[in-house]
Amino acid sequence: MKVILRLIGLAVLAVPVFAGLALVPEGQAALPGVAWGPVVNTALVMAGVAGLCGRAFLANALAVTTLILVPIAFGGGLVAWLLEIMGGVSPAAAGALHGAHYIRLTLNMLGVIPLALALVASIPFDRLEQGLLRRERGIATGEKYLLMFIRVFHHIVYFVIPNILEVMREEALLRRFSETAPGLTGRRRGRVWVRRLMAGLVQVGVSGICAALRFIPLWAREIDDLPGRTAQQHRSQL
Amino acid sequence: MTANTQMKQLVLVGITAAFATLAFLGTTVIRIPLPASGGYFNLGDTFVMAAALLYGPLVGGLVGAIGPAMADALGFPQFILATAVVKGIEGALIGLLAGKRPRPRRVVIALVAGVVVLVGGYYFFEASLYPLLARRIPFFGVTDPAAALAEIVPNLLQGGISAVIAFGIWRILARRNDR
Repeated sequence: MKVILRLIGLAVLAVPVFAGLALVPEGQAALPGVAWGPVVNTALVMAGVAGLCGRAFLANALAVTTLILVPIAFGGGLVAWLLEIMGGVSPAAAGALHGAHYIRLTLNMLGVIPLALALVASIPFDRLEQGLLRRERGIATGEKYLLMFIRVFHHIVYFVIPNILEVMREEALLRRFSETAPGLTGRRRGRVWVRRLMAGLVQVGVSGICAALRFIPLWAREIDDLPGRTAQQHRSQL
Repeated sequence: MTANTQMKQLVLVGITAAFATLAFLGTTVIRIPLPASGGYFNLGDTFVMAAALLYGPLVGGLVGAIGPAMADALGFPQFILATAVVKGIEGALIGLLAGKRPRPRRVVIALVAGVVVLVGGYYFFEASLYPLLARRIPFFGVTDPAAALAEIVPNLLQGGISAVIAFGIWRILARRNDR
């Protein structure tokens, strides 16, 4: 399928989902406190993403959605439920107080995240970069900035972050940062733990920034050397 | 535009893109849920603050407006408006207050002001502006004054932790730049 058609299809799907518009009239609820609107929107997104981007993409997008969803919807729901119980509300009543909110949130995320991922994945960044580099008439200043943005974004997402995560995993950095010195107890132990963790996060942040900025001067020179789209060039081609 | 100026601007665009991407990933990877409003807090602010301290108000403001808002697009599109405005102002203000050659005291003052903007800004959006907008556009009906009040402490924690880490990053990288 052509990229532009896919993007238009996804954009049409995005209107009711991102704007919170219900495609079915409000009437009977699907579940107590949950209208049919979000259920229909989510089902439409699933069908639309599967149709436009393929079932394999939908499966991957749903896996990512679940990873984001679990701590937010289930963790948040559990904390809200526990807070109500601590406030003296019975477990059943506490569940009823926030249940509908978290089901709506889950439905919203199941619709919004795969759609946002499909939109981002459908933008042909590689082809965009290649297209900009192959222009015969030279490229405009704005396009040079766009080229720089795309290159930096790619570099960080596909090289910097995976490398940092790999190093952190291999060297068990977070565990080492949060290990406390033996013999310390109570508040002092807690203070040392916080200080070490902060120092570790600073170290990770500095490595990330340095790796992210490493090639920028080189790329700036390379992109700057590309032929600009000047008025003289236009005239000579007419 | 001379070649030298364009080269400098390309470097600036690259730096802004790098910090915006780091802020986006910092916001997406570390998410801690807030039961009151269904939102979450994160450490993407660290990179907004570090960008403002290292490269000034323009880069700080742009990084704040672009990076965390990109992260909100994946999961919480309702908060894009609040995030872009609040974090954009936060980054610009920190860069302005820190100045061109910041000293530790000025940096601390700038970071404290940034945290105040973060907490106050989100409270304003969630307690006043969003309920007002939700009367016309249901999309924004995700929060109310009670939920906004419950978010003050987590936002304060988020800002405080991010500020401490940003201060550490600034000390290391500013020293490296001075050499």
